[in-house]
Amino acid sequence: MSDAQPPDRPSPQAAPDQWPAPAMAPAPIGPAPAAPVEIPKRRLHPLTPLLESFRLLIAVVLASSWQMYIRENAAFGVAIAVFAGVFGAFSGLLSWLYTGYRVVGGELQITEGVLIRKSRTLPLERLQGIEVAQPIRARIFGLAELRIEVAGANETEAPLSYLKLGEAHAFRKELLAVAGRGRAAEEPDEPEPEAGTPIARVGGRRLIAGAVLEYLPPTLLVFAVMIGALALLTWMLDSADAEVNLWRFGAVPILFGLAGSIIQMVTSILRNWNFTLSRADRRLRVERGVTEKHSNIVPLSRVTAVSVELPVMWRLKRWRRVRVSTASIAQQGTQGADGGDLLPVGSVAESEHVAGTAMPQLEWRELAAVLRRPPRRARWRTPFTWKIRGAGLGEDVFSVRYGLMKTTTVAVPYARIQQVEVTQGPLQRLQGLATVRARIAGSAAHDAAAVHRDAAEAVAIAAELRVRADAAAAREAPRLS
Amino acid sequence: MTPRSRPPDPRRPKRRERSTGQVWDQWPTDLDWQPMAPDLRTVRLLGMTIRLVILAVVALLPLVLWLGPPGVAVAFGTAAALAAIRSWVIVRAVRAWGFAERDKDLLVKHGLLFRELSIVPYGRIQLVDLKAGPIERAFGLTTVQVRTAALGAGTEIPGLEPTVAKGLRDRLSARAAEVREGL
Repeated sequence: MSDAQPPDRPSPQAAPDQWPAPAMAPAPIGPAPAAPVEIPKRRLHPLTPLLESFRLLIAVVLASSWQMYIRENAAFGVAIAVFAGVFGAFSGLLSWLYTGYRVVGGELQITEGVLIRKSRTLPLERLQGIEVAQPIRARIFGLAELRIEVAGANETEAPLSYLKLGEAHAFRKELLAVAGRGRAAEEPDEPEPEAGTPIARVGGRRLIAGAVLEYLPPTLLVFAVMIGALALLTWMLDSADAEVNLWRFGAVPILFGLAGSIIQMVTSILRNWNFTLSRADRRLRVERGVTEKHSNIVPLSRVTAVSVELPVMWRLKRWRRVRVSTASIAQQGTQGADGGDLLPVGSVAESEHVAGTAMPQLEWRELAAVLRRPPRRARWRTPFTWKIRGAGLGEDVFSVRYGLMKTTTVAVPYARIQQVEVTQGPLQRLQGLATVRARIAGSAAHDAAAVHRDAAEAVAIAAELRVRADAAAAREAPRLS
Repeated sequence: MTPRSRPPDPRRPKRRERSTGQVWDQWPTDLDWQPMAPDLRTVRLLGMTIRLVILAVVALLPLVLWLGPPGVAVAFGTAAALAAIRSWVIVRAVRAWGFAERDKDLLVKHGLLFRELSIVPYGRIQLVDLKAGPIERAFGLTTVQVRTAALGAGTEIPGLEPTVAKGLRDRLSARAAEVREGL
């Protein structure tokens, strides 16, 4: 976070001797508010409703073709499609007409809603970052969405989507200017000057093998379960007529599911094609893509957690995947779900090297030694993963392991822990168990949670986490300021 | 924060054995947990009642059409019974709320069935807000909301007297400004 958000340091005038100190909410973190800039009301791009209902559109197409298939009646399917199309177009047009955004008095206001007017207000002085993102459906039309992150917002606000790409970049600059962060405007898009030293490359064959091994078992499992269920039903009904219908009805979801998982597999291969990870100074640079190169940069100082994943079939090949989460907003968007890969598939040695590079203080090999299983009485709570689950306090990181189909080991440096929570459900209380959760910046998906620990141990872990987090943060303070 | 020096307790091992189930019976024991104002109970109960009444009014006509008057009576009776249980839970749950300020962090505990203890270090606090809903305001109560950069983990301390809330807010934001740590 040191390079992207230096203005977030507190203003030094809030010294401890001024008591009671000025309230924080009215005069938040950040630079002095700029002179109120007004940006008049604008509308989103007219194609927005079409893109917003992209998924719905696919669902409608599927539903109508399904109806055609089942009823052998083309007219009915067409009727559904036409009706949905007309209805969708009308409601889309209305919602587009009633959606607008403007900047008033240092706040970005987004109004929407036809019947119930809704207005979202984002105080720009608390701005943490803006990203211009292009999901695939938007890229087709040359559009983009703006992801705006505001300190302390409950969740990542819904993005401002969609705008023309150029417009989005221009508006981003304007917003940054309003927020008094003019110089931050050119920082993130800057291309990396030096090439850096390559750390890891992933070849096509290994990528394909990895993807197949990863997606095959769950697909086969689902396939087998569904076929089995159908066979069972057929046997129970025991009628030739019902059998034919049953298999006809059942085949479609199975085929759709199969197609879905194949598509998922292929996209995961294409996404990481020509994957190269290199290091330049204190940044990691990921390059990948089939025709056009996508590259993203992970500043080492922004890494909040490193995780190593081991899908179940990869045990055969002793392969690992390494991912990081950072405090940036891209992590929480649609791209972010895939954006954290530092090594899509690699050997144990490679994964240790990459994980060690991403978090220099981390000794991955020693980490496995500190992991402890939950107590035996917790076994029936998670019968399959009890052996896998573990949590432990490492030298510099809190580490947690979980998951059967994809065994994941997460390491969170003490200095990155935001807050610590101990929770206990009614069943856990009966058993004397509790869960400790170390929350890091960003969405809750990346938190490290030690599930079903002994209550006394959980409390001890929480206390220790707090002490170590304070110590680590104190050691780090000179670097951050 | 200094551990109270207490004489060696002969029953200590027994107590420990019994209390393994309770998260915050073990740690941190040497804190003075601040309770919530007793009026919070009334606020919560009133809020539940209002929501129920609104729901009943909305659901009345469809239910009469669907179930007929006897069915409606049964449905409302069930709802009333559930509400009674819920009120009992609310009363006890309000007693379970508590917060404590330590040297470097703020502790908030809540929940009866699902217990939760949040530990928020002052250095990680991004925002401290005061807010009050309409019923809360009628009883002169305020909620303090503390947020860190961890999304979806907003910590709330409801039902405080306005002066207490303001004092807490001021102390929290002052300490947050003193020791600010990164993401």
